Amino acid sequence: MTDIAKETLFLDRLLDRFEAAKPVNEKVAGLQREAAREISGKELPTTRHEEWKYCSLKSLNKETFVPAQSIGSPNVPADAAAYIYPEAEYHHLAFVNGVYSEELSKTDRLPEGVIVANLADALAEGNEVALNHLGKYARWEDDPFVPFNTAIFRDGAFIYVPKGVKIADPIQLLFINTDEAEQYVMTPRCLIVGGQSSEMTVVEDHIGLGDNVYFNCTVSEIALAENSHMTHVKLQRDSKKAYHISRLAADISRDSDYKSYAVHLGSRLSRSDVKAVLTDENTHATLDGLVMVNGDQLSDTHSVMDHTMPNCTSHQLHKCIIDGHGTSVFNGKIFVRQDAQKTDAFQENRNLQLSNTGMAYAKPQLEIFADDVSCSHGATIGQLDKDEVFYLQTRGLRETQTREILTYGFALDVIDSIPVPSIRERLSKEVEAYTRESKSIKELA
Amino acid sequence: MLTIKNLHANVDGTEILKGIDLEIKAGEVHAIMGPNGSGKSTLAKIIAGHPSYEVTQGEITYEGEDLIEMEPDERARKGVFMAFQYPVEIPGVSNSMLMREAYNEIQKEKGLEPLDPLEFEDFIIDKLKLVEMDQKLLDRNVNVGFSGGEKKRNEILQMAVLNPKLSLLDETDSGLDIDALRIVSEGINKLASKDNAVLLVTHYQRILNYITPDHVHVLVNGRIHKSGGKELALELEAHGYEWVTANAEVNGEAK
Repeated sequence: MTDIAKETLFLDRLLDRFEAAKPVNEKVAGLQREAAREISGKELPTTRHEEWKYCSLKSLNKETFVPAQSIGSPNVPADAAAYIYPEAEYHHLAFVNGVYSEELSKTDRLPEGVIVANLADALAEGNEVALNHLGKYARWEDDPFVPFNTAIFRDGAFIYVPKGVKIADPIQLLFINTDEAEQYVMTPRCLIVGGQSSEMTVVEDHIGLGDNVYFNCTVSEIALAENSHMTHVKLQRDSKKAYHISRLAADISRDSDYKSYAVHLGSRLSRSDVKAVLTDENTHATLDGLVMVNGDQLSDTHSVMDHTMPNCTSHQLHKCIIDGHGTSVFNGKIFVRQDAQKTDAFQENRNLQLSNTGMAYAKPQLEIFADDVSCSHGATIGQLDKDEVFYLQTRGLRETQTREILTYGFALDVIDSIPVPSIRERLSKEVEAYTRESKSIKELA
Repeated sequence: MLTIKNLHANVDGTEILKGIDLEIKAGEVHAIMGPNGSGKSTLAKIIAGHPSYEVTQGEITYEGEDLIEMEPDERARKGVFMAFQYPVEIPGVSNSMLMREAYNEIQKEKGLEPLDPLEFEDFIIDKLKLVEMDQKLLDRNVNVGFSGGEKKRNEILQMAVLNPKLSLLDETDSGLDIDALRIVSEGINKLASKDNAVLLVTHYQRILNYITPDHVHVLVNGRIHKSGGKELALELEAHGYEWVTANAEVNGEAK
């Protein structure tokens, strides 16, 4: 009886498709077994669950997927290298459907001691940094997707920048997801470790090449030692029919700063849970985001900014543009623990609704246990400003053009903060394409 | 150039303009003066085509065409320009980009070639001098973080770039210190020619020390109560608006 019920559960069904991989390392094997036990017999959360109120997994629950690595020869286009940003020409890792591609990767010209490698290889070689940090920051916490990824992940990115090393050019992690007849699931894993006084920029790019259904379930862990600096750009351009569920945990030490810019354009269902823990004094975290949905896309961002110690700052500007029947959800938690005096936390969520049929849900959530802090937060949901439209029209711009420019302008201040010029350029084009394709902009005009 | 006949207009069902007649010819500068809430800014906005106002009666003819039927952008491309009392801030849109796009739209309307960004930069340098504006403000987002004076100068800069036939200047003097007022006024004077016209909406007489109007109209409670030459502004300054309403004629007829 029990077994039959278990068979029907989504995660169990999926797990059963993965053969027990030969353990690359005893410690990793232990972690993976623990993760598998965690989700065994567990159902996917439903909308009755507070954290999943507006994000229904019903359709995911009905899908079947094969492990991505079982696809014999994926349809990789000949020009796949074109997805590498010029700034990352000499250091990038590429993954095809979550499987590491040595052919498309390049890790030349890295300073001594820096590791940019397939995580599976680093773990198999027994790399101590990787083994020490893996699984330490992304915890289960009542969420089935961290253990799911942990139980079956194989390939992924491992980046280690040792003490005092600064890398000016970005390191790109390119995830190409190909157009296949079969629906596949992948579980890429990233582990990024910055040593004391190190500096790096990492670009995580997920691209769907087709209009097919697949399930991209990623987990990234980031550990920054004292006085280190990291900029993390994430670009999610998965297929418009894909499921993208990602987990990110960043652990930030004294005098360090972590700046994350996450842009979600793709997927039918995208759910991104981000957690930044400011573990010591004088640290800073930025979790900025830009979401654009259209059609029946749903994009849900849940963030946790955890201030644990005094004199830290955080910045969160999360912008969403909603068109068609799209839905955006933002739930931003800020914790200011009792010891975190002199915290300066800023959070703003702005939603621009282009259509009458879209939905936006905004929920800022501040829990403050210290008494000498400055926390500001705001959430707005609105349409294009009539006075702005009129102003531009009196300059001779047509109403459609006016609406396109204002929509573009709305997206731009998040894009402008991204320190890699070719990504800014790429994103400008994406926003332009989005506004050009918007039926609401044309209909309203 | 512009003929307004018996114009009545509402906002949210309330009548703001109650029968305006006005004739503006090329080469003329008209000043509309009046107390707060008299409808003078409304008049400028209606000529520019603001969607919040509803024309219930009357007509506005511009260069022989019915203006009321035109979209605001169409009016702009045909040479109607409005300098706003409160220019809006537009985050994410650079000032130079807006002006280039606007300029090129008008070029296209005239059947002329648009300018590319480099050509436009050369073109706008001269215009900047006219309002003594820092070139750096071109790269900033439209009016974002501009001081009150910078916003007003930016409006006149746009006027210089777009070279309109009819300029509606809505309280361009408000919020300006004496130096900025002089710079902005001189800019407007330099742009005035026998082929274009200016409608200046103002509460105070002081901008008229710099810009000499050919005609002054006093608008009170949605009607023009008195029209005259530049000396009318001085009389108003001396006696106040109540003086007009006390011995008023309504559109030339005794009350």
